[in-house]
Amino acid sequence: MESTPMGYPAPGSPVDVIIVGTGFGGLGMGAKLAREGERSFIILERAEDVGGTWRDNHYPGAACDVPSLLYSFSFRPNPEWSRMFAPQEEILNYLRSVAREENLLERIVFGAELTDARWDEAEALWKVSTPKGEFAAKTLVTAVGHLSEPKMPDIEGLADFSGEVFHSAQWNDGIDLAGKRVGIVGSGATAIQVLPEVAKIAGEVVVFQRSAPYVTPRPDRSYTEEEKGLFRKMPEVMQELREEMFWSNEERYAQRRGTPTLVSAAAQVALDHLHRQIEDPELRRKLTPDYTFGCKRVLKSSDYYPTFTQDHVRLETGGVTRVEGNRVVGGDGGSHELDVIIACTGFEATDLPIAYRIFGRDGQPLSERWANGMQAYATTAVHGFPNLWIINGPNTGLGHNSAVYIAEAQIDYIMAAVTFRDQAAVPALEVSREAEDAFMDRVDQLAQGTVWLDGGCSSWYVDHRNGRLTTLWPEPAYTFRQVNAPFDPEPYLAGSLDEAREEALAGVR
Amino acid sequence: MRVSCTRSDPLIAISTGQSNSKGLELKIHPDANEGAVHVGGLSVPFHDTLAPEDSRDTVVLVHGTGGSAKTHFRTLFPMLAARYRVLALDLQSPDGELTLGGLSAQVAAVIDQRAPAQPVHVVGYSLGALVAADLAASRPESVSSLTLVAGWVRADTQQRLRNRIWKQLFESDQDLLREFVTWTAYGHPFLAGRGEADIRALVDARTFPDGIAGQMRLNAVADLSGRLAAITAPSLVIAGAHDQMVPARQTQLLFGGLPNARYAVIDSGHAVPQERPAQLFQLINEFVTDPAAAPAGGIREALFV
Repeated sequence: MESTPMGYPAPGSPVDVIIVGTGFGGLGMGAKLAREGERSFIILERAEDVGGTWRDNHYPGAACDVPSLLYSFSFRPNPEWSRMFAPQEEILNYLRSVAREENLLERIVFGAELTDARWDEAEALWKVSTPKGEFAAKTLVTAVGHLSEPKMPDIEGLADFSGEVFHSAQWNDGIDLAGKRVGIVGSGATAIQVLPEVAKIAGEVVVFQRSAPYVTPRPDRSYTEEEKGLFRKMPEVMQELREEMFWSNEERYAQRRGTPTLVSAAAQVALDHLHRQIEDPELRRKLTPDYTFGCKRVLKSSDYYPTFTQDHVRLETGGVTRVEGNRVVGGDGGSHELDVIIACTGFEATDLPIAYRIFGRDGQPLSERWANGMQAYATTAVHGFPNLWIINGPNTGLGHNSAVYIAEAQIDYIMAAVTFRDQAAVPALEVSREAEDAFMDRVDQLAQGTVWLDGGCSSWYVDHRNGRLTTLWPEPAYTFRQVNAPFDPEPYLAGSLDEAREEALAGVR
Repeated sequence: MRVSCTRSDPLIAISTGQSNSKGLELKIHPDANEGAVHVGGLSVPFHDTLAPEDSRDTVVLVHGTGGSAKTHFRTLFPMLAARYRVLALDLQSPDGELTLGGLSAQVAAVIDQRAPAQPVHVVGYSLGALVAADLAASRPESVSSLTLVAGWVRADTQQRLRNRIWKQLFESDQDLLREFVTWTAYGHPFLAGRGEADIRALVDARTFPDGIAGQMRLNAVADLSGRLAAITAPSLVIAGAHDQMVPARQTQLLFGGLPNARYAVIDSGHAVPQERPAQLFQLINEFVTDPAAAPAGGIREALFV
């Protein structure tokens, strides 16, 4: 996909909004701005195509575990999904069509990784540096996702492995796995999708598991031609199904509140699934989780467990201890000579790399503000960072429902904030520290008693630096929209010393 | 404990009754105090999350035909318990004739003994909705708000026809009745979205507890006609769009008759608390938080999804 330069601003001429990222968050924000038609904007994308995590994670078997009618924009229902849970390529093509049909391509600057963004107090502008040049905007919206920076495992000797090593999000298509001896490090959401596909072609596969996941059946099926025809002719049917999926997922939230009856019922579904698919008692034992259901992400797969019944597939339960030459040594003593290691070891979710590149008032890096863990008012605004709003930042993950629903709520908030600011004719909105802290206290309170804090596991949901639940929204998804989508100017006024600004704002309240 | 079975959906597992690994039945909620209140020769079990210094509002849950607090409110109870003191009871059947007044006297006795200090929010489901309305009419001082889920005013010919089929099957073929009840209890979208094994599990899980025949007789003859206008409590009437047991039109008549009611519809069959517990919670929670916030006579729109 090529970028057309016609949408670029002339050097030195600021736009109203710079968006960073072209995943669901960035494209959704762009689509809303384009439809509104009131503001100039550009979108910075580090790669040469749109799609974010759905572009990067093209490993075999990649798919979403939220059904596609729900995992898509409310304002762009898609009657063409081939299946209930569409594969990665379809999701990526959906995002490409959004970029194309919402007229965003001409506004996207490809190959423009944000290397530095600084708030210029005097001009009330964000100054942004990229390999494609310098840009400036009144408003900066980051939408880089929390599953965008691959995290490699810290394993002794891995760098000197004599075979090939890559991360699942940086899949090396140049390596033919046919007949190879392949090690899969990890047993999370990626590994369970990768394993069945790799096992089809590899000569030998070893999964190095540290902690067994809960896996539930994936009720996937393809949509019939009649269904797709109905979706095209009566889109409201897609909306009905979407709501059904949404509320069905919301029910799973009750399981996460730690109610024993519901937790054990839900865990039993996963354990029954394991028992149906695995007969060998020893293998069952190895694949049985040792922590409370829901503490880590609950996975969906109907072909993960059966893969272990194949003769050329093995399971090591102690993780990886070290690598020596082409030999990978597991924590339980098992050692395997391998040709390829695939790290399915997840992402930097709690310590967002982009925070090290954003500098707010007085040059303070966002990473410094967040040194003890991420926090933001309404999950999007940070004191000391005027006119910056963050999509997919702190407390926006869900253990049980669609991330696109969350991003849309944040986009609505940002649209309202920017509209308010411009109508009030104030140069900048900066949330007060008091409001930000009070918001986080409230989130902390809501998180108490949830399985993520009390479930006896370690997960990327909790920041090890402060023990707080910083990546997840600890409530049902619908309250995320109720709490975080409506814009209230009040928290941006408290503590303001500028009387003229106060008056201007008061006038439009 | 059965290790291998065919269910594959959490929702279904939840409806099949739960026990822990030692075979002991788990409480509906870890904070629930269990006990019984004695009224008119009956011992009425309750589940009450009351804790010392808990000053939160009380929500009282009244189940429907053939149910209990655990079977009808397994998911709703813990959701509500995160925000309210929740008090649920298991309605009992007397030796003699079952009446709405007799059932609402059980609810009143539990409230009098467990939560006498302040008026309570009463939520009734199915037959429990009629019981709750009877309570609100006879004891207005006890009820600060009234939520009626999948209730009705007086059975119409469609309902009475189903009731007769039920009675004949109850007496002649309870296996077939299990299938019939499963078919009528859940909405088409809910059933059609599940596999055969899931449907089988739903059918197998169906039980006919003591007293159910009497409850079914009451369903056919219970009549709230003319009594609704006297109910002044702020009310919320919730219908299931695909309800085959109590068609939405019948539930709407409650909305029509109650002077201080709001109306909401959920895209579910009669088994609203099993099919859409999260949406039911959302509606009840918002209503109970401030019952008068939405104007009487208004329709609550579904949330944006």
